Amino acid sequence: MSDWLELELAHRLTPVEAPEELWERVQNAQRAPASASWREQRRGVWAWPAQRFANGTWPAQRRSVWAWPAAAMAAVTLAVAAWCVASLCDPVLDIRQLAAAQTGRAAPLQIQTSDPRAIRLWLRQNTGLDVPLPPATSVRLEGARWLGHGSQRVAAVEYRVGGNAVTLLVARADPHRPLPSHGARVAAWQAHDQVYALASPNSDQVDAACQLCHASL
Amino acid sequence: MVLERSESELVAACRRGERDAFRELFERYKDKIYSVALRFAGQPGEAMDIAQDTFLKLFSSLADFRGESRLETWIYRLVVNRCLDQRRRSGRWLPLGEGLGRSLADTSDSLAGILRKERNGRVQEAVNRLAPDLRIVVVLRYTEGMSYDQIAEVLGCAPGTVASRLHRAHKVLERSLSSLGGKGGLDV
Repeated sequence: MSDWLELELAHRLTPVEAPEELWERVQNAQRAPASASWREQRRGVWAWPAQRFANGTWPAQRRSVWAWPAAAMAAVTLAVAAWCVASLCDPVLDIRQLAAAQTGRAAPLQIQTSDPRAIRLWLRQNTGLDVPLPPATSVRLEGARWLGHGSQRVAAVEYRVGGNAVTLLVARADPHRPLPSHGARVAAWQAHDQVYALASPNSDQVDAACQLCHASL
Repeated sequence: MVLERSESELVAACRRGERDAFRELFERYKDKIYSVALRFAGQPGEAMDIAQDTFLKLFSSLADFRGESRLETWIYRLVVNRCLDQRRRSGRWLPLGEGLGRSLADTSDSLAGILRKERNGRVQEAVNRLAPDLRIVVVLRYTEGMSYDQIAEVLGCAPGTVASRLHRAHKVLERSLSSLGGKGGLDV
């Protein structure tokens, strides 16, 4: 270390005299226990180890050894609690109703393409859902978008059959809530761990809408 | 002529609740405690809070002092803990240049006095910017003039750790105070 730094530090960081009012402050704080000990009360949980540390029987390093796991456990507990609350608050997804609500609604597409592979890839990236569309189809694919429903995302593939716009909705199936067997008058089904629904303004065209994947219909 | 009580006599008197013993203890250690607090915190207000908390803790926990270390070492531990706690609680840092501005604003001083205050302020600011574990070592070393062994006893770590922290602190301070080097600064 440079000599000049040693001298500067020794010269500039000299001890100082305590102000006269310090004794008065200490006495006042002792007379008013509520104000004097509010910090102690606030840290009541830590009072015992803190006191041991103050006594010199609690090594300084030990405090951080306990503090970090405690903080980590508290963070995990909070995260789990937040997740539970979010799960409880999540609205139940009824894909039939959602499909019915989409009928005739012209929402902007987030990806505009007629390439089924590009749509599949985009949906996987943006919703985490795998929507396997056949490479060749008799319908006219227009693109896709996703809808937010609580914390989950629902995939929407838009296409046209004849002059009618059709929306195929895909969501992750809830194992605790099977697909309702009836409800809004839309075609809906479940395959593996996903639920599907078709929305079309022309209910007579539902069979035709299936041509997206079933060309022989 | 009033004879000073020994350390053990003073502690015993405090334990019995003798008021003048508390005052004597305060008088013996007030400057040490306040100096450490001020040099660590860098602000008189914060230093007063730390010193006040330290004395409250000292008076309330004297009964737990078992004499395993010297009273002075135990008291230094209290003030060091208060310093580190205060820093964690407030999370505040002295704004850059505050001390500088304060010293320059005091126009009633002579030029030499202003320059001295400016240099003091710059050193204190550089110390304030050190990480708390480095800063406390610097304060105990240069304000209290402690040896590595004494600092290690207060902090509850090895002397080698003290040496390493001090070395790191010097490196940082050398960089931040390089403009003071070799200018004969000690004249002011």
